[in-house]
Amino acid sequence: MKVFVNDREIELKNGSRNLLEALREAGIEIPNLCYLSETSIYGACRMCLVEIDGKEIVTSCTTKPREGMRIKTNTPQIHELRRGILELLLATHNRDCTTCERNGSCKLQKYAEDFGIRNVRFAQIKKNTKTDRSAPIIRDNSKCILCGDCVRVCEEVQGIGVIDFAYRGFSTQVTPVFETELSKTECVYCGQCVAHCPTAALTFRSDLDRLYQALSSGKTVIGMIAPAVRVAVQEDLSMDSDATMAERLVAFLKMSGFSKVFDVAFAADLVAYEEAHELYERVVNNEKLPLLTSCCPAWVKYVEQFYPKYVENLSTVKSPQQALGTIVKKIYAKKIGINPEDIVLVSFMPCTAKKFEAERQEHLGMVDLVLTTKELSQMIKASGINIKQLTPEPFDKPFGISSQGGLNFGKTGGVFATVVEVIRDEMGIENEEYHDLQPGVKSAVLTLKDGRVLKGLVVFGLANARDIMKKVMEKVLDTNIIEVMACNYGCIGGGGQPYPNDSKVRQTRARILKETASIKAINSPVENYYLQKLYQEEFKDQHTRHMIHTEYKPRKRIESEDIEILPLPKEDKTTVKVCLGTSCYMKGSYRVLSQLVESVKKDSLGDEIEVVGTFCLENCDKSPNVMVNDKLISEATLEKVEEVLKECQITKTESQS
Amino acid sequence: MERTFQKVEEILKKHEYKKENLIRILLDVQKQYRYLPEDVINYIGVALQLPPAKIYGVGTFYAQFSLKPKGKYTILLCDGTACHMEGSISLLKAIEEELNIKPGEVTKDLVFSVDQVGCLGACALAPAMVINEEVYGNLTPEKVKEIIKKLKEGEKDAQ
Amino acid sequence: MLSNINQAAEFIEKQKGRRKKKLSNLSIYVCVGTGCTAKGAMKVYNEFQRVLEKEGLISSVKLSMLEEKESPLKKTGCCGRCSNGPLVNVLPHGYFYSHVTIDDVQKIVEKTIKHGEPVEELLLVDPATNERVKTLEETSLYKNQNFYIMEDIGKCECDSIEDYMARGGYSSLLKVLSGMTPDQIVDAVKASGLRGRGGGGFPTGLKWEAAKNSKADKKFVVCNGDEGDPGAFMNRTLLERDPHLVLEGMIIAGYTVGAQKAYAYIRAEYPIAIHMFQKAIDDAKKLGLLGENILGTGFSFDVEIKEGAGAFVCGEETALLASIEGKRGMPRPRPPFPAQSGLWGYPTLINNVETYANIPRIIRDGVEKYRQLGVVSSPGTKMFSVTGPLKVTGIIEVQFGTTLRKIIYDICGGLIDGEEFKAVQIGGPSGACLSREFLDMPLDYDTLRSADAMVGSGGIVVITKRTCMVEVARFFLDFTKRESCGKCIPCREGTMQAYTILEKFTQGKATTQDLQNLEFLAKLIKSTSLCGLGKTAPNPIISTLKLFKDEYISHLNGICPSGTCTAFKKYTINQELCKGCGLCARACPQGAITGERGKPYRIDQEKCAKCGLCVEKCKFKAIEIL
Repeated sequence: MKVFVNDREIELKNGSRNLLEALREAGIEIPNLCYLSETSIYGACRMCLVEIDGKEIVTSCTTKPREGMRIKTNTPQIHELRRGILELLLATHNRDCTTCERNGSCKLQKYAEDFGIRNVRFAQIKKNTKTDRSAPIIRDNSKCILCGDCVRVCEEVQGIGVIDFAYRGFSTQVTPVFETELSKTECVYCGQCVAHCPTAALTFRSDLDRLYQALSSGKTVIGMIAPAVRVAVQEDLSMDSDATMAERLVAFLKMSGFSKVFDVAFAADLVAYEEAHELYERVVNNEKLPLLTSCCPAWVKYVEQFYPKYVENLSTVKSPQQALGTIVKKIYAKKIGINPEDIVLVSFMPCTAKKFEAERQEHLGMVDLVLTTKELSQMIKASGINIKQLTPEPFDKPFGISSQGGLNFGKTGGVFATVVEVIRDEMGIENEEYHDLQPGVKSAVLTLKDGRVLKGLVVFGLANARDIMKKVMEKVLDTNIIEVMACNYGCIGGGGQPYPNDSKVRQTRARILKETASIKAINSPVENYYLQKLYQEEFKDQHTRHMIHTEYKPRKRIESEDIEILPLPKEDKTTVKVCLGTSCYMKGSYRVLSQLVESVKKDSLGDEIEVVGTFCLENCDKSPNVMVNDKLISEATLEKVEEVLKECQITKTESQS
Repeated sequence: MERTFQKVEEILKKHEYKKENLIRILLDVQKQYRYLPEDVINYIGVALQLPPAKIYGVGTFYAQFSLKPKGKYTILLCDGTACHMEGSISLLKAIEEELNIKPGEVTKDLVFSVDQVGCLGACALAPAMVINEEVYGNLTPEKVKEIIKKLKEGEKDAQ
Repeated sequence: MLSNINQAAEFIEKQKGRRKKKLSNLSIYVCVGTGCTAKGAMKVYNEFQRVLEKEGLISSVKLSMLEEKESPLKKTGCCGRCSNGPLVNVLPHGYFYSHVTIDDVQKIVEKTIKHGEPVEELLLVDPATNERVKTLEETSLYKNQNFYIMEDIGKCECDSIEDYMARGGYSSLLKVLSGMTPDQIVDAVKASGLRGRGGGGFPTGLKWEAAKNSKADKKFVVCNGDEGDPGAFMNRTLLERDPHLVLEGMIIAGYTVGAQKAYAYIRAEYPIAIHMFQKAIDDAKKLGLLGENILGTGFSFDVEIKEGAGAFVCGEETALLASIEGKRGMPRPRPPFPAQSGLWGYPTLINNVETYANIPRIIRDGVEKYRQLGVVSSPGTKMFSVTGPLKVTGIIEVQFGTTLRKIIYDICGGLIDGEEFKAVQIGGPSGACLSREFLDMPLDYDTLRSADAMVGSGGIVVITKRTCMVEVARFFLDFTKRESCGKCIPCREGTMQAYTILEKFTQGKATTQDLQNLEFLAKLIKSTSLCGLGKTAPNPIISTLKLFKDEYISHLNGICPSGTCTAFKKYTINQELCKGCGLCARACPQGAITGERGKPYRIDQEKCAKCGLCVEKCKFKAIEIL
């Protein structure tokens, strides 16, 4: 359609979501602080003002373009109003720009500069300045401009809603429930809030100091680089994309004191190879289906918290990061004759949840340090080295090469496609069909040579995953494998990637990754010589391969204290804990609780039995759960509980006599 | 205090476990407990399958809700300039002795809570306090103890 | 249960006959509105019950509505004269008693009920003449109003659907159901010129048309009763005194736009209004005027009350819708308008309580008669809540085009003795202040807008010479900043900043730069805020800056012309009068008073906190305030 923008006729694409996007397409970026293409329209920052038909001033995010519309985007009046809004924000903002995490990438800082604000007319009124450093994601409300991007991303894109607005007016804040620390919430550390935060209200923990300590400790520092890192790091270095970026990074890390640098894509090949066989086995045995991929640590935590019944469906194969960590520490260390404790294994990831993954109890001691793409680019910038001038160096053997598939792990569909490659090579595929179901969900149907039909889904965004899981639970969806990446477009959109980190940039990264992968000589992990050698030499049987497998269990969603229901001060009491978490509640745990309270009262056992409510006993697949002292009763009924209670009473009287 | 969530369950049932009735549910919880306890919010989150942060957001938005326990009798002790100079601290001590709670706290039986507030606009009556909208002025520690004792007795009689 | 239109029409006729009889016989109407109830109206009601029973005038057995003989004791809704409550109206004489206590009941029964004589000392005082008058209708207060929505003041039963029908209630619904198409109704509402009574004054007919034309398998009707202006309670009055009038309007709206379900959003702070409206819903359902297949027409409609939990911003329609959905009451940008996408994304018609109350009247009287009230651009009447140092305060109803002078002086009897008029603040926290020059301006939507003011929900506060206009602006900004939902930047941050500047003014710390910043802020908030609350939040600033800028300037120069702002007060000790007793020095919390016993004391202005304690203590009136 034709419109007039600042008195010049221009052509706008039809069907744009709003004027803001239409003008963006046409090359005019209307200043805005709360607009995300990925979420619903919020309309709160009031920066994206435009004048329509010489009359009213409206927000372009809520206005649809119309044929013949006369739009003014930057009148003196609009400029004045935008400036005023910026000053209002700056007045109460923590303006420690030079030491701020987002120095140089902050949208508010950029606008303050663009609008030439040198003096803020309004009073600097104190606001809540609480910071929470309990988790890999750091919240600093003194930097928050309440644009709500994080709230909408967490709820609408990721389907969690860990943080939301609380209080109102000038006291409004974004916070988890009761200002709880993030580490005690359902946050999966995907970092999508960080990716979309215009300021430094949401950032991630920097571990660079620990890297420099490691480098000066005399220990052997080994690096590993994830696929998605190499296609995004150049954004922060004002460089063009480059197919040899990974190898330049290897050169840089070697110059910085790393003794070896491996490619996480090698481990991706390993994971895909292992998972393909796991999938085939489950399909043959018809058990634990659909298989849920477990490469994405945010998704794994999501399943542990929200779909405890499906925890056993998660692939037991470790993620590429942890798989590589394991073989470096357990196999490679032996080979080169260094005590694993003298190795510091540093993984460069696009992801904030990987920091959490490395710290999980079951993975401790494998990967020592996880640094994001952002931290890597910071390191490069601080060194002053122009990596464009470095001669690329290959990754170190034996974990240095990968197939195209392994590299494609960096984007959505990569895991599934590589698993398919392995199946193609090992089991043979007759026919394959792919469909786009909706943004973020793709389906595939494979007919194998042995006549079996394999159905798969590729999903990104946890809200999409939630919708799919709902269908799985209702048994209306028939699929054998679901690949889920928490972040839109997969790991390339991880929370540790450079800013901006929006859909547009992610699509570019996906293109670069595809190009980089396509020049790899081998297609499938099956053709990966070093991988096959690993299997021949180290992974001869199930037992030895066990090291690259792990286990998951249901995870508490609400980290709150137990609630005293019938409190009791006595020492030799019997404690009965009734789980009131989602799964147990749905299965009628409340009924069991009230029956129990009644029965305790009826039998006047109030002096001996303490009844407590708890928000998860992490045994959700066998809900409802009740715990009597330290004995767990699954699928509990009042009868079962009473039986156990009787036993307890008997042993107690026996021990007393 | 005994908390079996029985009341919460009744409230949830009354409102048909519907998300759209969240505000009504919270109004009833507020009536029942005189505030929105953290475990009750978590419990409602579980029952309605709503993120607890969302419920917290609603609970902090509307003026009818309180996030901290309040007593049946909320004692607002004025600590404005005039009252302060007239010895409001000694009144606070008297309250602390009588009820065994500090400002911002509530007694275990949830009958009394005490808050220190800025000027109540009753400087001419300094030192002053307000209990459930009734102003008590020209107080002494003895008078304060007497007032609280009377309220306590009234409570006992009511039971 | 009425199963068809004819049956309902017959029922109404029957009720009319009964009411006529009732009004010519003895009936005692006790006002049980919030104001009177707070002053003990229920006690009075119960006392009447007790005395009448004792005297054998009524039986204690509850009489069923079908029995010919019924109790003469009735509850009536708010009469708008809350300051005079508890109010009792005794028919057929029409003696209108104010400030009735339980001790007066026996007297009323003896004198009035038994002998038909008035109890003189309880009769209303007409503010115009300062004399007691027998009936409400005789007062200038009554005569100068145009009761149209508030018909039958003091003699309507707020809790009786039969009484409502006897007064012609639900006839409009019958008329609509028996012979008007939705298009005809929309045309009538459009032609009536009815404009939204909630504040903006948007033409109601256009809203109805848009909601009717929206295509969807579900539609909603919402009644906005989240009246939150401090001191304004028109909606509460209406819901308490004539809930069926609002309900009937809502049912007609539901029929017109094709909705199946309605929500009435009423503040939880209005328990009596909620109770009355719930009873109205229940009674209408029992009679078959609400629910499935209304009067056999196939039209089904249900109404549910949603309590507001205390947030002024929920008066904004999109915030209210969010609140009904159980969320934080934060407004969202429009378009899309609720008529296209409202509750849960379905087309939703949302109007104010008073707007719905106009609908049955328009249908009953026809457009032509309706438009005889008011002015061309703003037909009909408006309820206002009048407060301030006036002889009479409370709820009034006048036709549009009435002047402020008539309201303040003819209806409310002017200011109380010793007070001098300075301004009125009209339209609540989002309204504006108007000076003396505007006293003769006709009140209607457009004239007010041309004066940068608004009808708003209809609050009128009279301000006297003793009140500082800067302080008035500060007061309202304090309100709006607390009630801002916190979503958009200009309202959340701007109202706080504006408040801070105004506070500086009242504390004598403001500079010329502050004045400029305040002007800019007002413009910024007004032109960029997301919702109506934000857009109108600076109105108190804008209007006072326009009409009372001199007061701002004075504050810059260290003077508060009305003497309201304590920071400008200077306490000094008259050296002649001071006896040097030292009482003041001991009382001073700041230790600002020093001196030697027996000699005049002095106040250190640097230390003085202007608390006024010394004035209280001084027995010789030696402390002077400048």
